[in-house]
Amino acid sequence: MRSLLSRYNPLIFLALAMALAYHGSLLLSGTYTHTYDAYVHIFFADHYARAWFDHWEPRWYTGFPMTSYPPGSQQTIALLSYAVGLKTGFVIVALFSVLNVTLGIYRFTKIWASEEAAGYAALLLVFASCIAETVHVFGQLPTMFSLGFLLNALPFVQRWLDEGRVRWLITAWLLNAATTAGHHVTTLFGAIFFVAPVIASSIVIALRQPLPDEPPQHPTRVTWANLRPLMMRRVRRVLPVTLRAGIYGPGLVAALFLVVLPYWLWSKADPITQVSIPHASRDSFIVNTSAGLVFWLIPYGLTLLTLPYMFYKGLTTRAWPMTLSLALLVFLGTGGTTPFPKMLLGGAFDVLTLDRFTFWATITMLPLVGEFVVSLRHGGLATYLREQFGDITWRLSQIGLVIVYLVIALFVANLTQFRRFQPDPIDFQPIVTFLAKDEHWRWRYLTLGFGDQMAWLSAQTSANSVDGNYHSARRLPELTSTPVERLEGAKYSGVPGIGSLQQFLAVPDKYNLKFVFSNDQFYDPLLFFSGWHRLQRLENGIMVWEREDIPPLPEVLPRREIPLYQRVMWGVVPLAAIVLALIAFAAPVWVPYLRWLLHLNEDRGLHTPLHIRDHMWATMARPFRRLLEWAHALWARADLAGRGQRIWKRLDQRLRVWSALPAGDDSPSVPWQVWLEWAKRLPRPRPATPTAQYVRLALLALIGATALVSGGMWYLGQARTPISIVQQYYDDLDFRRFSQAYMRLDPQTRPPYDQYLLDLSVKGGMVASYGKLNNVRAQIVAAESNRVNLLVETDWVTALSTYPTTQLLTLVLRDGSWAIEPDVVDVTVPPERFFRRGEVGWVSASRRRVISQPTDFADILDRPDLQILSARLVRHTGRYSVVGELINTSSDPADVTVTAFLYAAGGSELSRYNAQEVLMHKLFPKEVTPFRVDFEGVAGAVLTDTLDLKNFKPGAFTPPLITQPVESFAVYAKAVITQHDLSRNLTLQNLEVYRADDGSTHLRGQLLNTGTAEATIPHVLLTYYDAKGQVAWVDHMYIRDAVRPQRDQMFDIPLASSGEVATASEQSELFGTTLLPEVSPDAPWRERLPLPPATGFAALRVSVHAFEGGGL
Amino acid sequence: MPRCGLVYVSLLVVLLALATGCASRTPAHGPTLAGALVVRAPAALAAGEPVTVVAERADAPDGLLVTLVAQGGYSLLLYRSPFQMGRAEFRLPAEDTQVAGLVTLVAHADTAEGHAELTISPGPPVDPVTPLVGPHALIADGAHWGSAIAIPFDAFGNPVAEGTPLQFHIRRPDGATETLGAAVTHLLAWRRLASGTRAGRTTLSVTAGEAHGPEANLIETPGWPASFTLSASPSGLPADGRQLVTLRTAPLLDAYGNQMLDGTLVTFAAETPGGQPRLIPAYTIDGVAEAQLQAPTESGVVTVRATLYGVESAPLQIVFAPGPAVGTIPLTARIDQASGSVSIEAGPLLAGLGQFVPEGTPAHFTLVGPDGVTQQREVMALGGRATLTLPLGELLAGEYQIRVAVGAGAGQTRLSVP
Repeated sequence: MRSLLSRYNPLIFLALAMALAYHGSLLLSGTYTHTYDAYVHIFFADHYARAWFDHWEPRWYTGFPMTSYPPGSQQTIALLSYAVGLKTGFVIVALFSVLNVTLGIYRFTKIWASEEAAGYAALLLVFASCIAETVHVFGQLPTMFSLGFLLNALPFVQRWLDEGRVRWLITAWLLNAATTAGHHVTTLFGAIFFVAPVIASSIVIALRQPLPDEPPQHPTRVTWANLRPLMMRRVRRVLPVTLRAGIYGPGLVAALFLVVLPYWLWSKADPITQVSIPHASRDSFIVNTSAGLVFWLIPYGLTLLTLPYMFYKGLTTRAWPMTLSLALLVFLGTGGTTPFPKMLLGGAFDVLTLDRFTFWATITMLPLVGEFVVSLRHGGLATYLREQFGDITWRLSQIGLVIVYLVIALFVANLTQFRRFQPDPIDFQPIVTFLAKDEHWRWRYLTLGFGDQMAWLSAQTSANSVDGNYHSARRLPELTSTPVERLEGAKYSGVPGIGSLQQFLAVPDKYNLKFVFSNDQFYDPLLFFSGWHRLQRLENGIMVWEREDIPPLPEVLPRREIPLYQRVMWGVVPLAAIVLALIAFAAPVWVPYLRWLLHLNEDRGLHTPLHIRDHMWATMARPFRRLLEWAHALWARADLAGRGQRIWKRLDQRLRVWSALPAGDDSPSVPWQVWLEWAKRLPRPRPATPTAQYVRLALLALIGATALVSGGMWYLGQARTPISIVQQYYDDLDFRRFSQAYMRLDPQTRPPYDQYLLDLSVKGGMVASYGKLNNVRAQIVAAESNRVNLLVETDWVTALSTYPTTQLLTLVLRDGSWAIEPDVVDVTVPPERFFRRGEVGWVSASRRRVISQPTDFADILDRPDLQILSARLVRHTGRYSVVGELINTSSDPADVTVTAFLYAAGGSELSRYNAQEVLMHKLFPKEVTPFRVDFEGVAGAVLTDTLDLKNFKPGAFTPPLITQPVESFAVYAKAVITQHDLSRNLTLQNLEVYRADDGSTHLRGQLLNTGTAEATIPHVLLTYYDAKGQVAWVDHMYIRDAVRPQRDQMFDIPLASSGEVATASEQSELFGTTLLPEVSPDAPWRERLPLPPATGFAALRVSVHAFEGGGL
Repeated sequence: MPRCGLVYVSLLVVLLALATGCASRTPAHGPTLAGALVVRAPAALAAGEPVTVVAERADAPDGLLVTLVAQGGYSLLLYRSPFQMGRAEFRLPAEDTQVAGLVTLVAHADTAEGHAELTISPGPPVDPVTPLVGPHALIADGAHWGSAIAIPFDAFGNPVAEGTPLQFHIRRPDGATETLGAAVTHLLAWRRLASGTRAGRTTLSVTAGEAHGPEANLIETPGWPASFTLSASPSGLPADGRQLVTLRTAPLLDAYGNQMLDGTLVTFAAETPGGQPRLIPAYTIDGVAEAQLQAPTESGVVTVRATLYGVESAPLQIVFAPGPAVGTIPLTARIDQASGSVSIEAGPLLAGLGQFVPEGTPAHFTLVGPDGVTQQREVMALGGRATLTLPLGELLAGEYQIRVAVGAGAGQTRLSVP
C-alpha cells in the first residue's frame, strides 16, 4: 500500500474513498428515490431485464421504441438486476459512475494543471454541489455514467496526439464508444467542449515546441525570405499531431454513430416533431429566481467565488483552450437571462436543457479550482493573504471555505429532504396487486400526483399507461402537440396540460383508459365531473377512480418494428462497448499479468518459481500465440508501418529542407504573451505589519457583520408592511400553516385558536379544498395612522376553473405590527340537532360465482334504457356543441356516456367527442339530465395556447379541425348500471330571475343541503328551452363554496341569451338504448320555469348535483 | 491423421443426411388402378356409433392401398386399407363419428376414385339445457316482451335435431305458472316472453325430454307511475326561513298497482308566498319519496307538487305563520368616543313563543342620514340581539333615523351624531 501511495497521488485514493463513503451512503439511504430521473432509468432497465432484445415498450404512451434513448447505463442496471434487483443495481451503477467521474476528473486535471491540483480537483469533485445535485436531486445517471468515460478518454486522446501509440488511440475510441453507449449527447457536445480543447492544446504545444533537428535560429522580423521557412517549420511541428487528430476524429464520429446506430436511424425515420417542453433552465434567472437558484447558483456553489481567479489562471497558463471552452459553457449556461445564448443556439435553444452546459462548466472549471486550492495552500494567494491579513486570516479563510463547501454539498445532496420536489414515497404494492387482479391490466391506467415515482410503478407491472415519463417518446397527437411532459403533473403545464388531461378523461374509451390512481385531490373535481367515480381507496392512501363502459385493450397491440440487425445491435453493441472500454482502460492492470500468464515474459513467467510450465498452460496459450504470430506475420508481410514510415520520412525530410532559414537570420526568442510581462511589472504590495493585519481582520469582520445585520433589517422591514402581512396570510392559508396565519390576526378581536381552526375546518368547496392560490394582489384603499383598509384580489386555480375573489380586509396596528381583523363567521344554527335521511344502496354482484372465467351471461346486467328527448347542433362563441336532454327510463341507476358525431354532406365523419362536464353522468331511475357535447381539437395544438403556458385557463379549449361544412349530426347515448356517486341532496330554493344593473339577466337562489354529507362542489346545470319545448342551449356553473348538511348557500348565475346561440343543425339521428320511446318529449313538466322574453328562450330548467368530497 | 479421419467421417454423415432428406421419394412400383370405385356406406348414422365403409372394385389387384378421406364440417379424417379380393374395408371408430352433420367420403386407389355421403345425426338432448333470457329486465305492463332461448345439445355437443320439442316452464311474480312448448328450429328453440302486469321476478327453466338445466330470471319492473297525492308535517310552523317540513308522497304506483322501485327520482316543486319556485329532489324508498321543505322567510301559503317527467301529483298547500321575530323590537344606539365607533343594538329579538330568534337570524338595519342618504346593513342575531357597529368617521354630523326589521318584527330609533 505504501508503495502504491508513493507511486500515485494519495489524494486520489482519498477522493475515491470519500466518494465511496459519502455518495455510497447517500445512495444507499435512498436519495435517488426523490430525484426526477432515477425511476425513469430504472423503468428502462426493467424493460431490458424483461426482454433484452425487444425494442418495443408498450407500457407507456401506447408504446414507444426503446431505441429512442442510449441504453448503456440502463442495460448495466438490467444486467445487475438479475443478481441484486433493480434498485440496488441502480445504486451500484450510480456509485460506479461517481467513482469513474472522480478518477476521470483527476486524470483530466493533469492535462491542464499540476499533479497536486489534480488531487484537489478530485477531492473537490466528491463534494461538489453540481455532482450532488446531478446525482441526488436530478438523478441524471446517464450524464454521470458517460461523463466518467469521457473524462477518462481525454488523457488517452492527448497521449495519442503527443506520442502516436495505437493503443492509446484504441483506448480513447473505446472510451468514446462507452460514452456514447451511456449518453450520446455527452459525446456530441463533449467533442466540442472537452475533446477540442485537448486537441487544440496538443497542437499549440507542438507548434511552440522546436524539433530536435530544427535550426535554432529565431528571426526577429518576418520577411519574404524567411516567411516560408518559418511557416514550414511550424507545419512540420504540428503535422504529426494534426494527422493524428485527423485519424482520431473519424473514429470518434464512428463511435458516436455506430454504437447507437438504431437510435440515429430511429430519429431519422421518426423525428421528434413535438412541441418543446418548457424548461426553467431557458428562463431568465433574474426573473425566475428559483430557476436561477436550481440551475445556476447551486451547481456552481462556492466555486462562483473563484471564477475571476479561474479565468485569470486559465488564460495565463496552458489551460487556456479549456478556459475558453469554460467561458462558452458558462455563457450558454445562463439560459434566457440574456438573449445571446438563444441567438447562438438558434432553434436548438428550445430543445436543449441548458443546465447541462452549466454542469459541464462546473466540471471543466475543477482543474482550475484545484489550482486555486494549491495557490491558497502555499501559492500566490497564500502569500498575499499571509502578508496582508496575517496567518489567522489565512487559516480562517481556508477553514471557512472548506466548511462552507462541505455545508453546501450536504445541503444540496439533501435538498430533496428540505424541499420536496416529489410527493412522499408511495408504497406501490397495493396498486400492483390491484392491476394484477380481475384482469385490470386489460385496460390502461393513468396516475395523477405521483411525480416521477410513476416510473417505478410502471417497472413493477405489465399493465399499460397512456402516460409516461419520457417525453421524447410520446407519439399521441394529444401529447406531442402540447408541451406537457406528463399528464401525471398536468396542473403544472398550464392550459395545454390540463387540456390534454381533460381530453383523456373526456374520451377515455378512445385510449382504453379505465383506471386513474390519484395521489392529488386537485384533480378530484375534474375526474368526478368528467364521469369518473371513486372505486376504492387502497391501503397506501391512493384513490382509485374508474370510468364505466370502457372497452378492454385488444389482444394484439400495434407496434412499430425495426430490422432484426438493429435489435441485435441495440442489445449487444452498447454493452459490448462499455465492457471493452473497461477492459482497455484497465489494461495497465491486467496486461502485465496476462503477459506473465502467457509467458511472453519468460523471466517473470509462472514457470520460474512454481514450475507450472506444463501442457495445460501451453495448450491454453497456444491458440493465442498462434493468433499473435499470424498477426505479426501478416503485419510484417504487409509492411504497412514500414511503408508509412518511409513516406513520412520523405515528407518530413522535405519539410525540414523547406524550413531552413537564411544564414544569420537569428535573434533571441521574444515571448508573445506580452501581458505577462506587464503583469510582472505591476507593483506588489508590501507585507503589512502585524498590527495592520489585525486591524484589517477586524475590519473584514465588521464589514461582514454590518452587511449581515443590514440585510436582515431590510428583509424584516419589507416583511412587515400591511401588504406583505396580507400576502403572507394568504400564503399561510394556502400552505395550511394555520398557526402562522392565526398569529397575523388582531390579537384583540381574533377568536381563540381552537375556534379559529374550527371555523376554518367547516369551510370547504372548490376553492377551499381543491384550489391552489395563484396570485394575491393587495392595494391600500384607506389608511389612517393605526388602521388600514386593503382591497385584496386573489386568483385561485382549480382543475375546472379559476376563481378570482375580492375581499376587503382591515388591518390595525398593534404593538408596532400590523394585524388583520378576522372575518365575520357564520353563527347560524341548523334547525335539527340530529336528523336522519333514508338512502338507497345498490350493489352489483358482478360474477355471482367466484371464478376466473368470463362473466356468465346470466350475471351480465342489461344496459339501462336511455331515451334522448331532444338534441340539436348549435354554435356558441364560435364553437360547435350538441345540446340536448335525455332520460333514464329504466328502474336502475345509470352511468351515462353521450357521444356526438358531426357529419359532412356525404356522410363522412368530421369529428366526434363525448359530453364531459355538462352532463350528470350518474342518473337515478326516471331522472332527466341535459347534456352538451363541446367538440374539441387536440389540446394545445393552437399556437396561442402554447405561447400562453404560464397563464392557467382551465376553461380554454382548442377548436376541432373541421374542413367541410357540417351537414348533420348524431348522438349516441349509452349506459351501464352503476352503484356509485348517487346522491341528490341539494334543494334549489327561492329561485328568481332578475335583470342586473348591467342589463343582463341573472338567476339567483339558494342551495339547501338536506342530505347527510357535505356537498363539496355543487354543480348547477341550466337547460334553456325554445317555444316548442326543445332544448336550445345548456349551460353550467360550479358553485365555489361547499354546502354543509342543513346549511344553505346563495348563488347568482348570469343567464345566457338566445342571441349567443345559433342553431347549426337539427338534422340528427338520436340513438338511445330504448327500442321505442317510453315517454313523450312533449310532456308537460313543472320543472321548466318560464323565462322573460328578453332572454330569447321560453323556459329554463335548473338541475343540480354535487361532488361529495368526503367519500371513500 | 486420426483427427482428420474424424472430420471426414463427420462430413460424410452430414452429406448423407442432407442427401437423404432432400431426395424425392422413389415411386413404388406396384399394382395400378384407374376409373371409378364404389364406396358403400350407410346413408345415416347416429352420432357416436362406429361404422364400416367399404370401397369396392372387382378388378382391383390385391394389396393395392385405398385411401379414404372423410370430410366433415369440422375435421378431415384419413383412413387406409388394402384391397383384398376387390374389397377394402374401413372401420370408422365411434370417436370419429361424434360430430353430427354431413360427411363426404372419398376413396382413392391409385388414380381410381369413388364418393359416398354419410349423414351423422345428433343424439337426444342431454343436461344441461341452459335457458337464456333477454333482456334481463322489462316493464310489467303487458306490452313489453322479451325472449327465452335455449340451444339443447346431445351428449357429444351437437345441437339437437330440428323439431326436437322443448318446454319452457315459467313462474310469474304473482305465482302463476305456465309451460310453453317450442321446437328446435335452426339449432335453437325460443319463445317470446310477454311481460305480465305484476312487477317482480319471473323464473324460467327449460326441459327437453329428460334433459334439464339451470333457471333463468327475468325482472319485471313497474312502469311509469300514475298520479299520486302528497302530505306534509308538521304544520303551523313560523316563516323563520329555518325550520323544515317533511314532504311525503303517497306510495307511487304504476297503472297496474306496482310500486316504484327504490331510488326512483321524484322532484317536489314548491312555490313560496313570494312566488319564488323551489325544486327539491327526492327518491323513493319503499314506494314513498320524502323531502324536506325549509320554511320561507315570508308568512303565507306554500304550494307543493311532486313531479316525475310527465306525471304530477295533486297540489298540497302548507301555511306558514309570521316569524321569526314578532312585535316591536327595542333599538338602542350609543356613541363611543373613546373607540371612535357607533354601536346600534336591536333586541331582544323575540319569536312567537317569546323565545329568542334563532342564532344567525338576519337583522336588516336601515340608516337614513341627515343628507337623506339611506344605508342598509345586515347583521346576524347572536344571543337574541343584533348589534351593528360603525366607525364614527363614516357618519355625518346630524340626525340619523334608524330602523331594524327581523322577519315580522320591526323597531326604530333616532341617533344624533355630533
